[in-house]
This record gives sequence, C-alpha cells and structure tokens, in this order.
Amino acid sequence: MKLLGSLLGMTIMFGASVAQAEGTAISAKVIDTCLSSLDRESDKRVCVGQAARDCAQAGDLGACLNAEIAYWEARLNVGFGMALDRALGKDSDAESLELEPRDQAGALRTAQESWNTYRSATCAFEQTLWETGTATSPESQGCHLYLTAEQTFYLEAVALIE
Amino acid sequence: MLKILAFAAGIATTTAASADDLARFTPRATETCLAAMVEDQNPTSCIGASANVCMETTEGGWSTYGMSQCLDQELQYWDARLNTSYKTVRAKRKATDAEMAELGSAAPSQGDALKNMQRAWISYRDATCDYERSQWGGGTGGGPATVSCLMYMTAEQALYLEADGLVD
Repeated sequence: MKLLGSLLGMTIMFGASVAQAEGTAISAKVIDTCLSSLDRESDKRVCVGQAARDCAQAGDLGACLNAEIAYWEARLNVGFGMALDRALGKDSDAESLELEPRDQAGALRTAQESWNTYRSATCAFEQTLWETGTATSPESQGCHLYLTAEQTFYLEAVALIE
Repeated sequence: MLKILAFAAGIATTTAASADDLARFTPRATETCLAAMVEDQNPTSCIGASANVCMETTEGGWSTYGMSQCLDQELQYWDARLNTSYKTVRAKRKATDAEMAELGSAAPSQGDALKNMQRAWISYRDATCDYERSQWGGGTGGGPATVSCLMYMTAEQALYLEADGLVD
C-alpha cells in the first residue's frame, strides 16, 4: 500500500501551504528516533513520511518530499553496498573453500535492477490513477518515497544476516 | 520485511518423514489474523501464519520437505488471491480507460500501466527469490527459503492489489 495512509493527510494538511525557499531540509533525526522507538515486530513504514510532513509545515511539500526521497536513496545505496560486500565475501569464501560456486553478488545486482524497474512501473501505474497524472505530484512522490524506504529496510536486513 | 527468516533454525537435521499427507493445511490462521487487523496494523504480519500451523500440526512438518510443502500450499493460496485481485483491478482500470476514451481524453492507459507493473513485479519477485536462494549455496535450506520468499512476495502483492484505492 504505497499510495495510502499518510498521503491523504498530507494533501489535506499542506495542500494550501505556500512554497518557500527555506525550510525544505528534512530531519534525519526524526527518522532515526522513530525507527529506534520501534520493537522488532513493528512495521518500519510508520517512520516513512514523517520527516517530510514536519518539513512541509514550514516549506513546500514537493520539495520536502524530494528531500526525504533523497535521504532514502542515499540510505538505499549504503544498504545495497553493505549487502553487496556481504555477498562478495560469501562468493569468495565459497571459492577459497572449493564449495559449489555461487554468484550471490550477481544475483543481488540482478535483484536490485529488477526492483528498480518494478518501482518505476508501479509508480507509473499509480500515477495514472491520479487526476493530476504527473510524476511530480505528491502522490507520485509518495510512491517513490515508500517503495525506496521499503527496499532500504530489506537490504539493511539482508546485509545483517550471518 | 525479510522474506526468508522464520525457519532459518533447525532445518538440516530433521528427516523428510511422512510429510506426504498434508491434509492439514487450511488458510484459516492467515484469514483469522487478517480479519483481526485494526487500522495502523500491518496485514503483512499475517503472511505465513497458516504455513506455520501446517508445520506444527503435520507429522514431519518441520523437515525440509514438510516445510516446503506447507509453505507451498500457502503460496498457492496467495497466488489464487493475487490472480483474483489482479483480474478485478484490471477490469476496473480497463473500464476507466474506456470511459476516458469515450470522453476523448488522451490520458495514459491505466490498464496498460497495470499490466506493465505486474510484469515488472514478476521479474522483481523471481530475481529477489533467486538472490535469497543464493544465500543458501547448495544447502537444503534453499528449497524452503525460496518457497517462503515467493509466498511472502506474492502475498504482499496480493494485499497491494486488494487495496481499495486501486479498484474504486
């Protein structure tokens, strides 16, 4: 449910907010504090979008959403790097121990590419459901925001598996 | 989040006993869990509940073979749900396309975009579950891990397509 939840609230609360040049920075601390308050069973997605909503109280919603998307993109890249390091290590272990060769790193790269295509196609579909129908609408941005954050959580989790 | 998990411990040692007769699978646990969801709870936490009950109540259910069978039956359950919801959304989106065309609108086709999304999702699912299988090398856990991954991802997409906003 990438398009649901907070977006409606966002549009209602901030639809009339005026664009301002300042105040478009999001607070990474808001995200970290939220995530660290969750127990293991909780859905991490509740922590996505809050920083953009906070930011939009003083700034432009579109710019705030872009700022939070950029945050998750950066974090996604870090998570992917960690997962790739781990996969390369496993591949190299298998080689040096003369185990059945496996290309875990290649499988991870393929998975990540296919996820990227999936995100584009999903958000393009959702975009057709909204009357504005533009990639820069808050709804379309919300789709990218949630999907990017979800994949970040996934990569961060697989990177930690021993 | 993690599509693997759950059964990671205790795999390799048990033997593939008499898991042939898996009449014990019913989707009841998953459906009960979903029905009990309140707002802000995450329905994806219900995925796998029926497979777990199946493993617990079937002799040999915790063997590699038993787990694969139980997980596969819940996968089939979600796959059927996904097909149903996809057809429902597709019919609705194509109806909207037809209405828009009648109005002379040049709006992009929702039905085509839906189909593109679903195709991309299938590639994403397969590639992700291949990656998860690769974590097991040639180990016996790779079988149930792959089925579990397919089950979680199929269920997530079914729940996504069942969301009201895609049909209304």
